[in-house]
Amino acid sequence: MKSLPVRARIYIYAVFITAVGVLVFAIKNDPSFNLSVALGFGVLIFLAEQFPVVLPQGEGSISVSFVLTIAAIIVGGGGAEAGIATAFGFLTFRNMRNVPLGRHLFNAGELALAATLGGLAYQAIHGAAPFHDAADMFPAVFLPVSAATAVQFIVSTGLVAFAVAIARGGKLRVVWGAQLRTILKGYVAFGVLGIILAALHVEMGFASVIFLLVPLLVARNAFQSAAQMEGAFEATVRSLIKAIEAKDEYTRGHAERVAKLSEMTARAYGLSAEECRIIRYIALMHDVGKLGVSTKILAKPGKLTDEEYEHMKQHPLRGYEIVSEIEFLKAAAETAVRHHHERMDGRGYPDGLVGEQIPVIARIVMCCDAFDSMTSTRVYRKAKSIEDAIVELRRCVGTQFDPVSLAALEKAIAREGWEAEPELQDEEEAIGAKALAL
Amino acid sequence: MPKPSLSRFSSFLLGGLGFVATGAGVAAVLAWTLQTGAHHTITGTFIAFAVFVAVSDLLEVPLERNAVFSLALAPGLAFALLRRCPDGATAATCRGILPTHIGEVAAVFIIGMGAALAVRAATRRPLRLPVVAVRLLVVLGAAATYRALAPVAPDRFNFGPSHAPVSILGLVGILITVTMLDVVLHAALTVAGEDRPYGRLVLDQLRATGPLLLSSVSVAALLALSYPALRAWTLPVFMAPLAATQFSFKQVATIRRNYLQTVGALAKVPEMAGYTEAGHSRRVADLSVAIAKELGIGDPELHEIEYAALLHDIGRISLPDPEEASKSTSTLQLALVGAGIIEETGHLPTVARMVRDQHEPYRRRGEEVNRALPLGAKIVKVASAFDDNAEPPGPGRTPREAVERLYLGMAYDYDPQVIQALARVLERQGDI
Repeated sequence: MKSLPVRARIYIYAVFITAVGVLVFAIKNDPSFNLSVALGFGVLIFLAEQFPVVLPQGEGSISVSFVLTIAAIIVGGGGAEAGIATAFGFLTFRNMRNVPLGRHLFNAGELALAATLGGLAYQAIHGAAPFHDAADMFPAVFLPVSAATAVQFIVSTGLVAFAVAIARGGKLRVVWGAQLRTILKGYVAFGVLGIILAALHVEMGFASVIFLLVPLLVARNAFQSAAQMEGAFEATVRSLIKAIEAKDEYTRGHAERVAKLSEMTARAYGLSAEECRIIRYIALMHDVGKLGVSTKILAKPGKLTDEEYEHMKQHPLRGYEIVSEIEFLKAAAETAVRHHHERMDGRGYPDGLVGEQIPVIARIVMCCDAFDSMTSTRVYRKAKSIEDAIVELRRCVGTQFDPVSLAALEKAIAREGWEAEPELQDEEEAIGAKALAL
Repeated sequence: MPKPSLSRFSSFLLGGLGFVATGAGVAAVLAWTLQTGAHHTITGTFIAFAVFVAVSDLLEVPLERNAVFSLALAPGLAFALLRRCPDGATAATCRGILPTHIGEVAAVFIIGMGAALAVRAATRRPLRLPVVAVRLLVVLGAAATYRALAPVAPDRFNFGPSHAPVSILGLVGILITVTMLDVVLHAALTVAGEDRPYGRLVLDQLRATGPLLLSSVSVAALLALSYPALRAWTLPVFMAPLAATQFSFKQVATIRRNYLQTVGALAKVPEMAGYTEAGHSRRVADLSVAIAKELGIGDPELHEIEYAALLHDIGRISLPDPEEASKSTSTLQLALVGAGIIEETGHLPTVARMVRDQHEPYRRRGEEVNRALPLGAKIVKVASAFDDNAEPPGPGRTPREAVERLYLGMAYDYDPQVIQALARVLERQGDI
């Protein structure tokens, strides 16, 4: 809590107090309030929170407890039970983890508020009477549940986005937009599961709910190992690339920085999450073909002879040969690894493509690759400052670089900031070599 | 695994029929659901379950090493436990009436699987007929067991909120017992192709499919119990947990494939740069996996051995130039560098250990056998040495001569057990 600004603290307590107020209102307005349902689901939410689901591939994480909240709304016929269950489940949850009190209260308050409001939306459409026979639920339950899901989704993501915007700065629209996109699918799927759970509860009580959790737990474990494997996968690629580029002291860390820059740029360019993921891997591996080039050429100060230069020009093709063996990167390898040394005016290599012929991913990687080489120290010159590098890139727009990618790169750096490679050592004054990214 | 061996025309015809049957079935079930909702007909139930079986069978769950798990077991088992309700019965009157006839269970499952098989044949996916047969046996086994127990204690498996915990537990208990049949029979299917002991295969099968069987069994029990109330809505509703299961396992399979392919591709970098023979890492990996299987090793160690074999030469990229690869630097140093690179990932400690120990001799002269050596390291050592002796082929480099040269280092450099396994693998492949 110490690090939080005052307005963030005020916001947190305001959310919590509003949640309590709305909950009291909901209980007063629920003629069929049922405490045992509320506490039963509260215990289930508490248990579910012990097994968070982390979706792989950067899709964020959604809490399984959302399924239980929807079920509690249907079973209880309104927001009161769901609100109490959520508050109970999340307030007790704290003992298990070291979450700061402010964040803890905010989480519980935010989720309880969303659940209660969702339940009130449900009640407004369907009325407070709970179902007694699961057969009556279909299709009557779909519309009110959709409304409840939508309200919960918007309230919860909105409150969180606002908190993030206050605590870390950044535009509310951007933060919220990112959240909406990543977890909407999850909410829809979980809404459907909530209906099933409610139907089983109406028909057979809490015991059946526990059995439905078995397939969900199995799926959750699979998601978990997928996320873990993805982490191991990325770490392995990074480590191997690091080992490969360790040969050339001047490019150390280059691939990793280009990967980070390219992902940022792709995001600013408006590419999809999946494309951003692919571009990260592609940029990481864009120079693997260089290993085939003799160290003597790579580390040679000054101009290369024609023969050496021809040899050097082979590396995008060699890199393409390697990366195209990886199925999910094959298409991107064709574009970005092979073509990361093309130029907009057609004087690049290996294929001499012109302008629009060069795929977008390659154009992004080209820009980021050049930017990182300029801001790093090389044998033949010192590192440029970020501003100077941008000026230099702008000078080459149209002949060498694509204006849209460069604009996206500038936007990304302005938005997320960038730290160029730390200066290695004082190098001799730059030899008059062009800032051609190798 | 049987491959579809049908002619183009008949596969087209069959597939067309399958698609039409499944599509029409899905449409009929949807129409039936929307129109009758809570009302009930026996014919509708039969069609609905056949379609459910077909659709969930086509939702294949990918497992390791190209195996798949069919989710058709869930609706199949549910139908085996279903109680028969007369036409037009309400939820109340339908409870606790006689089960469906066992012949009906067989018919519905076979029709559903038939439609799925036709779609498979058309899309040129493997038919996996033995697997279908095993699943049918399991479903019929569940139906028979349930019928044998139900008359004895009719109330125990009654439906309704008051009996729910007991009846669910009873049903799940029966189903778990019966699905052990699935594990045992599947292990029997694989035993013919491998030399691994049967008990080991059963355990491997249980590890690979146990959680999925548990999922299927839970869904089946809930499906059977809630069907009298939910009726037509049961099927669309219960597709959700099955689809979630399939989606999550698909994610795992995709990432595993990406991982393996990426490591395979990056392992080629030293070859491309001229440090080692072209194709060396892939050949050593294939041979290592074959030897490991021969020695009875299963997943997940098999994956680790494959990674270790692919990456065993990665340390060579630290050398400044290929020409120096064979000189000066010792294999010990290269192994240590390679292991260091892999350790850096922070995720593959066993693989790093195998790569580090690949240069260690099986036994130093005058010393005891080094029992701490991981089997994977000894396997990779033998496979790599064999490949060095046999590739590229030339006079005096036939597989037979390559193995014979390894025999010279047996019991000192190499583990005799591993060399014997290598010989058996080569013999089976017809190389020696």
